[in-house]
Amino acid sequence: MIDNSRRAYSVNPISSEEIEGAFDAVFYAIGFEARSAFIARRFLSRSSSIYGIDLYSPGLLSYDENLAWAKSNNVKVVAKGDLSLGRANPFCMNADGNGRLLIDVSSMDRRTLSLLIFQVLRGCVSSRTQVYFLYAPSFFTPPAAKLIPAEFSGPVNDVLGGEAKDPRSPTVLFLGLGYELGLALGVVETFEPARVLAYAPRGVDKRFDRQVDRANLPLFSDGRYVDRIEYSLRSPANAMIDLKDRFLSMREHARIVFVPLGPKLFASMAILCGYIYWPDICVWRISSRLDEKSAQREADGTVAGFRLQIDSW
Amino acid sequence: MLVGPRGSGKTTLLKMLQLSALQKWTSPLRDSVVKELDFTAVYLAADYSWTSLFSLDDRPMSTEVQRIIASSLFNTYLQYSFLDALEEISNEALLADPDLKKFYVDVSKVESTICSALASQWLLDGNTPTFFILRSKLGLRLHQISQLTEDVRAGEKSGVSEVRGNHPFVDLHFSLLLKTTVDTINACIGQRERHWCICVDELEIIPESLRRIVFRALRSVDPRILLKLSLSPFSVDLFENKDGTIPMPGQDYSPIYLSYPRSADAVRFGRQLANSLLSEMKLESSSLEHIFGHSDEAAAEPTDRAPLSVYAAPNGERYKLFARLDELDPSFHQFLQKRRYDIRRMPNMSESERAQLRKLLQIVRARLEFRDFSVRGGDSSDRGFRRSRKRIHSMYTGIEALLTICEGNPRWILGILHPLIGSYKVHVERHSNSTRVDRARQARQISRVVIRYRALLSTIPFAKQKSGQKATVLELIDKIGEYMFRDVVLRTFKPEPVLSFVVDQKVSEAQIMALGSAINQGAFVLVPNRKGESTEGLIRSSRFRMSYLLAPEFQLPLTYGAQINLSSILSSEFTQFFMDDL
Repeated sequence: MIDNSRRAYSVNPISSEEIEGAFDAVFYAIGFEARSAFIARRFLSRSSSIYGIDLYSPGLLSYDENLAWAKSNNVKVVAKGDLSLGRANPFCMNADGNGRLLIDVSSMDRRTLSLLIFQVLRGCVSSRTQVYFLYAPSFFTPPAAKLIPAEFSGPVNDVLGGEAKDPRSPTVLFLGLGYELGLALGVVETFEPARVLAYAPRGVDKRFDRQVDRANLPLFSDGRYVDRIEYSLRSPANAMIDLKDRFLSMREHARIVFVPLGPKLFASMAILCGYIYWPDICVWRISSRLDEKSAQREADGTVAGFRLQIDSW
Repeated sequence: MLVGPRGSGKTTLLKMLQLSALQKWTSPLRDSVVKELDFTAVYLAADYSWTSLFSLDDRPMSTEVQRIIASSLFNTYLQYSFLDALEEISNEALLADPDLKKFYVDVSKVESTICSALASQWLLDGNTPTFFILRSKLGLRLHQISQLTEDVRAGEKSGVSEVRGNHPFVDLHFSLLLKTTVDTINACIGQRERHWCICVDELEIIPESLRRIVFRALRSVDPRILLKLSLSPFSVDLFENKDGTIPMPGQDYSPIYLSYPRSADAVRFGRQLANSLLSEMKLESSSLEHIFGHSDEAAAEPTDRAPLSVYAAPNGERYKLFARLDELDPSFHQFLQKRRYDIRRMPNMSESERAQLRKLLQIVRARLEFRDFSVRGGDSSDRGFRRSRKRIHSMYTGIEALLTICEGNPRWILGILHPLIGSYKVHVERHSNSTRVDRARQARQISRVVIRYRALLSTIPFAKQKSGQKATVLELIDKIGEYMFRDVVLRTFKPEPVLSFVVDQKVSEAQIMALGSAINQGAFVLVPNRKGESTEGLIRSSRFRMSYLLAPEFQLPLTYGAQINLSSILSSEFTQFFMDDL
């Protein structure tokens, strides 16, 4: 497990100057989205080590191209299975002085993200490590026009399954909203929580925002117990702090479940909270069957993110 | 054993047995029911976190270790439930209630004794003089179990003996725990024969091994302990009689089914519940018919009490339906000719002949509303065209149709009717006149409930077979719904189109699992055999119809017709179903 007893965590916004420097290690996903290697390409020359987590999707959309690029640029390809909780850390983490790490969350599925974060947090031995979580927003692609069946519904991994609590404790759902039709509503119907905090992302491309609102309108039609909270993808540090503060205010009296649908940046925040405040948070994932028509994502050229500082003693 | 789909009222019925609920119950039935009660209810709900503990194989643990950890969690929750029950029986408000005061015990006088004794029975260390401390220790127990689970996963403990090592509580057995807890409490409060009823809710959520243990406890011979369990209909492991020692319905327990295969029964219950909503909202002077209006002719099950004038040409309501379809639909015209039905003579027919025609009304109605007869292609009898489908059709509105759609399911009744009655009340208060809730608003409310329902169904994961074959609940429902729509509306007219199916042997295990999930959510309803027997719990060879809640979405009549093998439906060409009503 991750020993938090001798650590302090803080979250900060990122300036563009900060991310221009060198990194000890960069982690990203070799996936099927076109934007998969967007950030990796940018930091290739500024990183001592660059690790590509192979999501293994041969023949699917841009995967073959992304894998070829990784191999031809000396990216250390790590199989997804090597991140498994029961395995040793597959990365060489910097043990001396300060560490600067970068995690590109853009194309990572939530489970892989949770395992990667676990390995990175567990492997941090420097007295101070800065972990930059970056996200490359994509150009708008319309979502599937129908409900997509779920392929999996359960904790994101077996560390983040939460802890059983006094049965009198009400369940509070921290729900990240995505633009998939009906998914958030289905989650609420499944859990039947006492209260829902629904986090609606606001980005630059308003088409995403409109689609998120449209897809989730029924969630708010019986809004007595659903609170809507907007967060900006341009200010993710603020969102992380908000998430953490709300959780801490409810921690003692409720069973907390995070279901981070929507942008992976929000998922990374939820997963981080899960590890930092283990075992009080259950982080749940629902993965839907892939809809190839709406799955391709091209980076719009911008980058957003936040910095996690880990001080150990 | 309460058996019913989601929303059928299982949890409410169990919770209502608790003293705190009985105190607040104001029904006219209350006095007679409470007088009969001779037990104190202990309510225990299964929790999703128990199964989520073992749903992943990141760091696998042995089946035996899983079992004892799950058992420890369950037992701890049982212990919490007993504390809740003790709190209830010591509530002085019971003394003011002539029927409930028999349950009261001044527990404060023996608090220290009970807590110390229970802590000892439950293997909780340390001095435990109060309920507060006892409860806190149960919280620590949960944390211990969580830590133990993590230790096993991290490889710091392996095997049952290591797990047991410092944690003797993992060996507490449910049945024995139950008995010793009752012994202890009864001895401490000086009521050695006091009866307790353990109400275990959502049995289907708990791990299979645990479920069997609880189920087997139904064979307990301790007269002080009663068990009431709630369960979703599809729980294969309990109902498939692999093992002769499992409890038998009628002998070891009484099954109570909370679903209504016949719509008349569902409508009757729904009407009672809806009327109680009116009372709750102080609208007793209004009737459901006044608020919602009657459904259109042939929208719901037609009654045989309609006057003969409805059959009379040219203006009888039922005559007009038959006549219009006769004019538009060659296959219906042929059918009438073949059977020698002269619809102009319906008032003069025998009642049995009219009854035969009456059975066709809903099919006729559905074809008229949902088929586009202006487009004819090829053999027009067998390849009809669908009318544009954007909104829920008004045919499903009006009180008779609404109650049929709700299937006697309290959640659906409240979901559809409660907001509409609320808006009616607001209108009455604002405008001092009572106008019926308009059809469009009723249709929109049905749509909202169906959207939520389908969203829920979409989050039920695939059932996967080892062969890689997958089956999803939504796709199964859509395929069946579309098939039935085609058979009722688009194909050649049939007096009994396919509106039910039998689960035959060719249906795969993955499809059975998906079907089971759908049944548990109420998407399909068991149709009893001709003798009225139910094969609850068994899926193969059983007959099902689609829930009427989904009828508006698939534009199906509110009735059930002929059956077909499910494998025939699933192997037929699939028409993609889109829901764009958002």
